[in-house]
Amino acid sequence: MIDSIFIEQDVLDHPVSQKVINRLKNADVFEIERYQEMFNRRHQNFRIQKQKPALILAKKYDNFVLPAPSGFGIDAQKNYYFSHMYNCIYDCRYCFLQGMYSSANYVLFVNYEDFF
Amino acid sequence: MIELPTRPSFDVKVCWVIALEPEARPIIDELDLRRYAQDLNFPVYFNPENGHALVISGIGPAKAAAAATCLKMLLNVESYVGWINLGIAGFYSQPIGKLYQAVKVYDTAGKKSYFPGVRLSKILKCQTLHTVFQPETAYLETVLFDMEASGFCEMAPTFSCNELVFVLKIVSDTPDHPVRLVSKETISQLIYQNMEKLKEIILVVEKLAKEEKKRLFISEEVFRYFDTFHFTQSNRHRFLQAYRKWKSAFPSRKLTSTLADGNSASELISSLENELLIESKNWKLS
Repeated sequence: MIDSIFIEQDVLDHPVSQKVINRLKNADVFEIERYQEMFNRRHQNFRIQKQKPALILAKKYDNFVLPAPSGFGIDAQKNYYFSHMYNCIYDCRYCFLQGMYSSANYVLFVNYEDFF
Repeated sequence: MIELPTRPSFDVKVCWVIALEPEARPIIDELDLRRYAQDLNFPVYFNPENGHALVISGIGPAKAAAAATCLKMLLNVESYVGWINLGIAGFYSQPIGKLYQAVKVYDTAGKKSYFPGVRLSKILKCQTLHTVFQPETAYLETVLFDMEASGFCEMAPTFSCNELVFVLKIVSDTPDHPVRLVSKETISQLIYQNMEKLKEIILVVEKLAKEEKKRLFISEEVFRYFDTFHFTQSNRHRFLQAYRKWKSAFPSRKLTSTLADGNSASELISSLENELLIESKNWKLS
């Protein structure tokens, strides 16, 4: 269970943030300015962090929808993807994506409305 | 030629950086630490039997950073070691004597934040801590106030990693009980009364350090290849990376069986990578 939530000041009052905080009543909540302050910083240890990841609630400002790299589409001419969350709640041994970030904390972008 | 002082040789597990002697005394007593050399800039204590070392830094973030560096250099501290900054702190409310883990440390002068340590929320409460340059007397924010942690958090993660760096603070002064009333005896008393929790924390940090040591362990057989073949710095790094993955996939296999035909650094790296590639085709999703 998540025991700590780090939340950007800009999304403190966002309905999704409030919903998440209400669902995780036992978690401590800490304010941060931007998620990059603590996510993917140098000298982080993914393996140890993965034992107890924190949840970071953040706001995404740009690059909401991105073109998929060639070879990663689903049989159409133009393919796109979006990420409303960084990292994964699972810890699969074969997953090469786990090497993408040096942080194991979850970043959830709560401003879903801006993706549309 | 300058002669370096003889380094004590022992396996360090946990390093303590503590600002004041009255804060350090209970830890020195509990862990049975002995003084190392009298002529150092910072008093250093250690116990080779239990692997704990301690440095008394003095007040201020710069001194905390310098003392941590001194301890690291003096004892040649490895990258799997846990680092703990323990001390007293001001807080906006009672109770005095409550122990917190600072999970966000904000340097008020540099306006920079640090997020040290794995959170030990099963043992103690977590809080935000502000490092200030003068003792706090207003307590306007709902956070802890100290005078060292940001300096410690700047340096200690570079010696091991952020998740093995812990900032622990005990409330010593509040608006109702200002800092001028805090005596040396009170400070030691506050640390002593939290000793049971501190012992629990020590066990957790020692366990994490032990696991990290195991994870980073490079077998002697690897270094034999470094002696036998010419490795560029880049190849050395690639070989170690490939070896870690290979060892994780084949924990009981010996390097000599896989690398018997290798005649150069790049051939050795390829052999390891090929074996991993073949094995990856057999991986199951379960």
